[in-house]
Amino acid sequence: MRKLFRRLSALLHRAKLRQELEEEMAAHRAMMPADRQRNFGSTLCLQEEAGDQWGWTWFDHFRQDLVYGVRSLRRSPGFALTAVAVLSLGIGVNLAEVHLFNAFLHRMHVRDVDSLCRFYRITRGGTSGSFSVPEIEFYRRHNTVLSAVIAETDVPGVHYAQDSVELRCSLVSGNFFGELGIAPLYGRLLNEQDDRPGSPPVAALDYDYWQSRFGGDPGIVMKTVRLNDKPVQVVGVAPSQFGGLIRHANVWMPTALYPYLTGDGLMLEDYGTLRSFMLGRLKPGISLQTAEAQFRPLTAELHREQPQHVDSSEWLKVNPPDLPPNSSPAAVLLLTTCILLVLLVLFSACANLGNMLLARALARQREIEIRLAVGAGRWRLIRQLMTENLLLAGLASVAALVVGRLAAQILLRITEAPGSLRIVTDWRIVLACALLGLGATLAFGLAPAFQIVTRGPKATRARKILVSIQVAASCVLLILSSFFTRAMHRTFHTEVTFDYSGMAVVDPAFYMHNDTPAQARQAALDLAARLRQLPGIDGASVATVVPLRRSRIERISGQQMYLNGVDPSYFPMMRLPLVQGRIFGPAETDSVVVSESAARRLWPNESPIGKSCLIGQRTRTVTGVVKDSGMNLMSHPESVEAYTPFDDKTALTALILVHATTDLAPLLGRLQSAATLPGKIPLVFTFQSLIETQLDTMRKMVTVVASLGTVASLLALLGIFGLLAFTVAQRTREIGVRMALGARGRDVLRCVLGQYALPFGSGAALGVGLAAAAAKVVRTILFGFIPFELVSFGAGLLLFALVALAASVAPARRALRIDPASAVRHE
Amino acid sequence: MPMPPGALAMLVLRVLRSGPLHGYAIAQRIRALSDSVLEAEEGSLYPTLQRMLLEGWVTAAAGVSETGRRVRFYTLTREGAKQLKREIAEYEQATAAIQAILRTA
Repeated sequence: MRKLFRRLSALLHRAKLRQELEEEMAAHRAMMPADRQRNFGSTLCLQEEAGDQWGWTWFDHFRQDLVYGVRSLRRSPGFALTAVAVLSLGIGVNLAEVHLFNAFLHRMHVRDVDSLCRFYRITRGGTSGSFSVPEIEFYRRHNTVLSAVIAETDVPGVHYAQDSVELRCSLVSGNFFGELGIAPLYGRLLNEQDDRPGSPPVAALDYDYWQSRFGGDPGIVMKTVRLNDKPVQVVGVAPSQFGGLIRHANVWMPTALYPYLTGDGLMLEDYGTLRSFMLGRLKPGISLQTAEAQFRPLTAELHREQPQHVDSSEWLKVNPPDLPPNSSPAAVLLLTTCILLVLLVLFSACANLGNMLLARALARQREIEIRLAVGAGRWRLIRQLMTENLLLAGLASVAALVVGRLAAQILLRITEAPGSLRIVTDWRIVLACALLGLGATLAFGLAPAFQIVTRGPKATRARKILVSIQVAASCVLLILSSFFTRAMHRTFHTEVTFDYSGMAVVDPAFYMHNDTPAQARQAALDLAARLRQLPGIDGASVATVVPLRRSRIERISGQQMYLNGVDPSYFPMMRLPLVQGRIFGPAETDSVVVSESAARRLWPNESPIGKSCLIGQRTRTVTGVVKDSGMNLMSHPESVEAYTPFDDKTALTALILVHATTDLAPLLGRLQSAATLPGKIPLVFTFQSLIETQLDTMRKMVTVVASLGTVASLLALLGIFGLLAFTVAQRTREIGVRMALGARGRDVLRCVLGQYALPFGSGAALGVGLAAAAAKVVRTILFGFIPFELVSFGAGLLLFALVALAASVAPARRALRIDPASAVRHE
Repeated sequence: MPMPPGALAMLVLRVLRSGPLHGYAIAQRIRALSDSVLEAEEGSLYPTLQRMLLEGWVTAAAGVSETGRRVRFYTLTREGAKQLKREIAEYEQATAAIQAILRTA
């Protein structure tokens, strides 16, 4: 320890120590008898040897190399700038990715996130994060492991003033903001007092919503606004760092306001309505496992109290709040693919830079030869070259911090990510940047450094390899982006057969009002009949689920099926032709119609007609089979659907699909007024808008891959251009001679470009292979119905060919313009 | 005669036991005491001294030599004295062993 200290102190006082040593040796020499003074040897050499003992020589060498590197980069600013630009782009793209992960992981800016936990119900039917309000209250009262229980309840169908867009509204327990340690930006947030029954109705606004809807006006605080036509006082605005706990809400209100807002007084006591999320704060020293163990008997007790709502096999899983209950291997695979794609860009940048270094080596050949000739060791030279590369990477990393931040911000903007995601440059980013920089230095610098020092055959072979790597990288990204683009455009034209552009959805939201199921059923049928009478409307049909908006999944004979309760006119409207049997009539409540895939799944190699199955606690007989609708293919590989007659059980969620013969836009207002009942204003929206939201995810993905592809292509463009320009410059004399001997333009081009046919070809082949693998992965995970087609591969390759052509135009022109007479005299 | 390997450090430590000396004086003392048989080469003396400084066996202080030159005087530390004892013990053990072989083999 003391030794280390002395060593460090020697580092700090290096100059002084060196001077003392020098003086000492000079004195020694002077004191020696004159005849022996010559034996002393080189003072400088001795000094270095003596200084070596302290172990800081490498440091001095490093400093020397660094100074030399700075000087040599300053001598060629063009190279330095290009290199830094290329590398910072490569590192920056990767940093942007790290930024996004960082933002996602740390979007919960809440107090002591480590002791927070989230509860999931594990039932026979699967995992669910939804609880009923009395259930949460039961767990809050009876557990001893949590210091607090936080509840957040989703309440659909809340509208601000006359806005047609539904508010994302969360009802929260009174301790929500206090427990999470969120301080208001303006006014105050909600407290326990607000959550008592009978307290005046209050609300707190989300920062982003406040910015977009109220223009960031602090004057809104303490004003009374109307939500669902009920007065509510805005008491404060949450800070921008807090984007919500489970949901990204626009407005938070106390749970006690549920009846006030919706007119539904039962929900707060109903064990059957699962609309709340449950979180807890563990007492100090309690682990997730301990909590889980204590909750098992509590759930069992709840089962005894509420046997019809809580299953005997049910138990609660306790997770950290930001983890999904089970991260699927598919998601991990997808993530890995994304990371690899982004790394590909860095790889391409490194290949590019390696190429530049090799070109530069040619210019530095003289310098290297001289250094070798005066006795520089190989390793010392490699070290020196690597120090220069490290310097480049260092500069690029600093630039990449800026590039990465910008790229992440742009990415967030184009993907319209929630505003609660904040890009922050913290130590993780800096660490990642340093690691990427170091890795890149090794990747792009090591091979050229060896090549330079060993003065190997010719650097051309290495350059060809590097260029083929770049070709491969940009091919992969270009092919994938064209693949996704095509997939996106084709998806709905091939899969959606009905006339969605002429369709609208009218949602009377019966569940929001105090209707009985029978009333709701009659009201839905009346409404459909009324809407059918409107001019311009040629069809109206009742359904309980709007395809592409949400889905109702149930298990039928152990198979997962997509369920919908419909009236018979649904099938012609959605263009679902009958394949077998017949459609049920309006009164046949115990029948079911299934899709072809569902029939195949449930009764393979058998006729499904007349078979019976249990759906919704009711035995039903299959009367017919219709074509697959393909609506759920985004989330399930097969179009497995079952349609039951719309009945009392599902009537509260009924909505009406209408089809217009003319342009839909002017009809929307008329639809809304025609469907309005006293005190019940329905929601009206077009089918097109649903499809837009569905396409959105894919569109975002395409944008991201395409922008990566653009960056990689840019890098490849630079790389190919540099390589060709270099070849032409190097072979000017030869080309001149050839021209003088009668070579024509074509021959010259072959001489310049011909040698690169192989690396380009092999690079492209590699790219196609990698792209096919990546496409396969993405296909199996995300969009099972994407046709795997060669066209998109062709389009990607064509795009790349254009890039290569663009890169080679200028060098080729230069080669053709060579004047034989002056070229031969060249040099 | 060349210095046996490893002996230099021990000799320097021994010479310094009688008081602080500067580099040239150390070399002179070794030369004189060994009747000019052993020579502390400058090329190895200074690296050895640096190493001893690093190990903490000696400390150096600036001073002026008899001839009026600025030099560093090396002083034995307690650590250094211990090291000297250890080295002498090891050396004696090794010599005894060598002697034994030479006598009997």
